[in-house]
Amino acid sequence: MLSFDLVNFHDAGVDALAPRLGYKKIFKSGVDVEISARGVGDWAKRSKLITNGGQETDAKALKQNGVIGVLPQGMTVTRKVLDIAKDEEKPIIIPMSAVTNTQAGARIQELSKMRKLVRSVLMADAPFALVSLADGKELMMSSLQMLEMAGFLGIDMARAKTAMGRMGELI
Amino acid sequence: MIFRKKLRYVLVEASADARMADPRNPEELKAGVRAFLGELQYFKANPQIAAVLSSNVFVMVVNRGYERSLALALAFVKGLGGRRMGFYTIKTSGTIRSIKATFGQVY
Repeated sequence: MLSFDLVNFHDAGVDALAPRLGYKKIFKSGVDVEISARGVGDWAKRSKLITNGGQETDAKALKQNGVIGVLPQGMTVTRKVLDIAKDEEKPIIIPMSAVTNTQAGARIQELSKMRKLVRSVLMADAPFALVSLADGKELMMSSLQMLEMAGFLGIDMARAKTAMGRMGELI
Repeated sequence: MIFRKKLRYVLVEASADARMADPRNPEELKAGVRAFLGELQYFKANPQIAAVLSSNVFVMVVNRGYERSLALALAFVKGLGGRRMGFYTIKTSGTIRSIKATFGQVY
């Protein structure tokens, strides 16, 4: 199964890094897809948007054609957003670098929030995508590491592999 | 019965020059791994630097069964020698020969 990643920075070397890290392609926010807090209105008429506007904004934005997924603000998502995402078949984007980019003290809290998010998504049986959403090269991880992180958060291997290939289906 | 160590070699790439020739850096990297794994898991895994293949690519060796824990721990280590960098696990193998062959093909 092919894996894809989404990063939040622009660097010419990222494309060369993709095959070594085990990804078919690494997408870039702002180039291949846009992450926007304004999911409705003019922005929604553009294609390939990931909404990041908070629960109410996300719930409305997910129904727009141009929105391909939702990045939960503050690592929390309501039942309403999960149900809409499931109906619209648009994934919840789970950014792994949110956990790896923290100091040891705050890491436990971030891990706890991430685990809660993952558990909510799994229980609602909503589609989800695993990406790093790294802000720099040092926050990226290989596909092997991403799978291990997924297992660490309670996602079984089969679903994790599907989730890692989801960005390629959307973009 | 001959006791034979069962090991796994992990090809690791750093996002910047890791300067593994400096003896402090491997120790700092292992300390970062120990901080994540904990003393007990670290003792069982016993990760070491097996070979340095280039300025930012090296091979780590770990006891069999702990290569996945090592990969996970390396995902959390974000600095070395006072510089910010990430560590990617590229490949795992039972022999260092195949790791070096992969290095020759890929890099």
